[in-house]
Amino acid sequence: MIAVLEHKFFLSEILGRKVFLKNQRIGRLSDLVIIETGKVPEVSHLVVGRSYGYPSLLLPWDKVSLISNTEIVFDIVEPYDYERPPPEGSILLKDHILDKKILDMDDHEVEVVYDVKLVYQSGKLYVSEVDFSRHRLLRRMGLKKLANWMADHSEDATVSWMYVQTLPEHIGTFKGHVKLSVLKENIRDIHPVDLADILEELDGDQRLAVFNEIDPEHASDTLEEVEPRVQRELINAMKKERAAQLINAMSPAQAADILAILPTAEADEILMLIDKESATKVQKIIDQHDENIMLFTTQKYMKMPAAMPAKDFMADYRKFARGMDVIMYVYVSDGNDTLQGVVDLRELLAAEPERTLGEIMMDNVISLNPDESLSDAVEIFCRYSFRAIPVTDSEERLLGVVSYHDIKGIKPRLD
Amino acid sequence: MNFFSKLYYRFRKMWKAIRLYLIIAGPGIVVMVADNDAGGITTYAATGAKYGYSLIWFLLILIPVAYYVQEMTVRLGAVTKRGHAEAIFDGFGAFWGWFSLIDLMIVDWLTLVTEFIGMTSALAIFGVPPWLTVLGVCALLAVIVLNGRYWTWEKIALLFCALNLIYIPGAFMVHPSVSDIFREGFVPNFPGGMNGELFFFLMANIGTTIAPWMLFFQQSAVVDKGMLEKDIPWGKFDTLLGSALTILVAVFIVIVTGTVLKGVDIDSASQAAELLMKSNHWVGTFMAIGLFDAGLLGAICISLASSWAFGEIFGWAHSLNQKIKEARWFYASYFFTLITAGLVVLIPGAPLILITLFVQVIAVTLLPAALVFLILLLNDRRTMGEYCNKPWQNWVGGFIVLSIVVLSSLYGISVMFPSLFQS
Amino acid sequence: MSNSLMRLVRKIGEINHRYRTPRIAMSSGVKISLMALRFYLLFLVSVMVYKFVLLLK
Repeated sequence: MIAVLEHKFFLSEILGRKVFLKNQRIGRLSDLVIIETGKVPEVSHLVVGRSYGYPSLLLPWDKVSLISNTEIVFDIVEPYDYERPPPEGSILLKDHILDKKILDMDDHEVEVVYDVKLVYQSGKLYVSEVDFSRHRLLRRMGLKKLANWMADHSEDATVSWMYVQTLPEHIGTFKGHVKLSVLKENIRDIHPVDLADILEELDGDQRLAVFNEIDPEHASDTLEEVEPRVQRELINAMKKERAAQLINAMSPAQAADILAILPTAEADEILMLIDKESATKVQKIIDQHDENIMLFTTQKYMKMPAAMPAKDFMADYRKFARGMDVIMYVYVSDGNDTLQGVVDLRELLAAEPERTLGEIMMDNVISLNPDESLSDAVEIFCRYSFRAIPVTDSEERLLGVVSYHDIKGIKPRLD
Repeated sequence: MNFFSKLYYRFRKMWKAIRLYLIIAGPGIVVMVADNDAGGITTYAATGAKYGYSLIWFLLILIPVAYYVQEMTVRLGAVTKRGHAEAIFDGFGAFWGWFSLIDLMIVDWLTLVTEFIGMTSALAIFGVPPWLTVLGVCALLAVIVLNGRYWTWEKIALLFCALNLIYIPGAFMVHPSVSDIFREGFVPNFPGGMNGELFFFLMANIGTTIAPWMLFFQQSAVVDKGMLEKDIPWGKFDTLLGSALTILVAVFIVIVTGTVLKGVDIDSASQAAELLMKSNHWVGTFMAIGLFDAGLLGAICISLASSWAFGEIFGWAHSLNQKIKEARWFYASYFFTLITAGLVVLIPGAPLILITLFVQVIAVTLLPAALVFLILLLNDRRTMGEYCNKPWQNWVGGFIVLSIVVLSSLYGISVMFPSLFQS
Repeated sequence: MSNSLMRLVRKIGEINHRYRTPRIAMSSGVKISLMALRFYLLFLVSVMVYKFVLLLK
């Protein structure tokens, strides 16, 4: 029901737009009331200033029916009911935020809030960024040409609202500053891991609103870092072109990681959009994920009978271990190759020399089935953080061992 | 943050403050400048003509005096959201209420007559017949008041306030000696020693600076404007600016007459204007225009002061924001006082001089009461809460009130018995 | 005419009733101030009467 022509705009651009109630011109937009919902505030009311001393109106956001480039239309007929000042304690974007000082984590002055960027997302208007680039100021003063020239010749200086600390309670026309949760020096490149942490805290629309404002290179790094559930949601909600652009910026292995968690149809669609060359690479890695785990097993591991005393094994350890791939574990089996248990080398070192392997071993062994895939193995490795996992058939017969070391190369992200 | 950003930050902060003030501005400036009414102009012109620049220092003392008294009405109005008359009725009971209300009505009506005297005599200099002046003024005020908005009324009143500044260029045109002004005017001194006549002038200056209708007017205006507690600092600043402005205008009038007409005894501002015209046509013209403007501004405010007060007590709708139909009695009483006062001036052989003097006598019956009530109301912690008078404010206010009461009472008595101070 | 006069009288009675008791706390300071005001006004009125008598003479 609400129509918004642009989905992003600056506060300074939207202020002063003509406001209509249906067809009747009522005044101009003079301020926006925001409420903080978690990290990213959303616009709750619009303050409309009227001329000739008529009291200003406080119109709720849900009554907006159109925001065009020049005007804002409300689905309201009678202005009288809305003649009231913003309630005590509410935060006004222009009056309380604009032209305030930006302080960093240590209370050092960074700059002045020259403008605020707003993003429209799923029926709501979010405050996404604080802009402190000088050219925004020039633009506000009406020097459009000069502003454009400066914008071309200088870096944009913005900081996502995610780094703005919860606004102080007493913020007012003159009191209070906008405080960031980063240091002045780090504003321009915040570590993607930190960004990812904040993104995970937000809920759907808010997250998308701020994520869309991060520049592609940064966004792609961040996308890698967020947890799979959030990755899925973000990619699902954004345009496929943008998703492809972000994935293109990643290494093929990372790209494969992300595509692997998407529904197949969606992953294929994105694959179509990215570079031919990297697409093939990515496809290859994804395919590998589905390959049978048996391809990655090794036979070079240590297999011992249960009766062997610990001291005998330790005495000949060098001989046993020579040329083996898996030397951290000793697999205990009987004559039929049935796996009876596993002994960790560390436990062996600590054990009484007279005890047998059968006495020390763990008999409840985590193992893989021969028909499981690489990605299943990865999951098990993630969950238990073993260095190696044996593969056994339905009769518990030992078929081989998968070493973490071997699949690490193919699958760089096992965290 | 570099120098540029810091400068910008300061600038925006200041600009915000100015914009906020411009929204609140009004009652304080209007009431203070309107205080320079026809009677006030006459007093200042006479003071300048009699003593030259010598009493300028005394006028400057009147800035804090006017401020501290009027500032209390801002707080009272913003906190209680009620006019002064209602506050007196409510606080001190019906007896004091009726006394204040009826007294106010009489003083206002008499003062209104003096405004009409000032206006007719000012325009008479340009050859406008008195009946036309009265008719024109009534019509003009009708237009201003009947458009049904406080906002418009206030802005028009502010425009007339700006016109009141006409004395400032007037003063520059007579080329006064600046060094003389500073030497003679800014050092407290009593020209010719403290005698009865000088005392009379000092009292007259105080008497015109604080008039009872101002208390009632400003508080009602604050209420009609819808000022809130948070606006009090701005309202106070408004009052301070207004009191500085009104004294500034007074000082410039003294400079004009003190330069050109020093040593001449004058009875009225229109007489001063005529005398000035002889030496400098434009300065005399400015004086006459200023006198008319002062009278008009006074008429605008004074007629409203009593209408507001009556509306508050009788429970009539009493806001300029209401249409005539909604506030019939409010507008009726407004025009009744206005037109009857205008008609008195037109009666041939009316005792106008006597009326002018009588205003001062009646005023001293009301002024002390109103000031005492004001201080007592401001000490009522139950209604005023944190805006209650602080002890130092009580000392300052109490001292000012006591001085005004004593001096204006003596002034009123000296009007009745002129021989008392002319020893 | 008499009707509206009656209305006015009734209105005044109503106002008197509404503001019968002063709401402000009657501390000794307030009492003294009000008493002083009464004396002051009595004095002024007597001065005015005196002046009036003088004028008549």
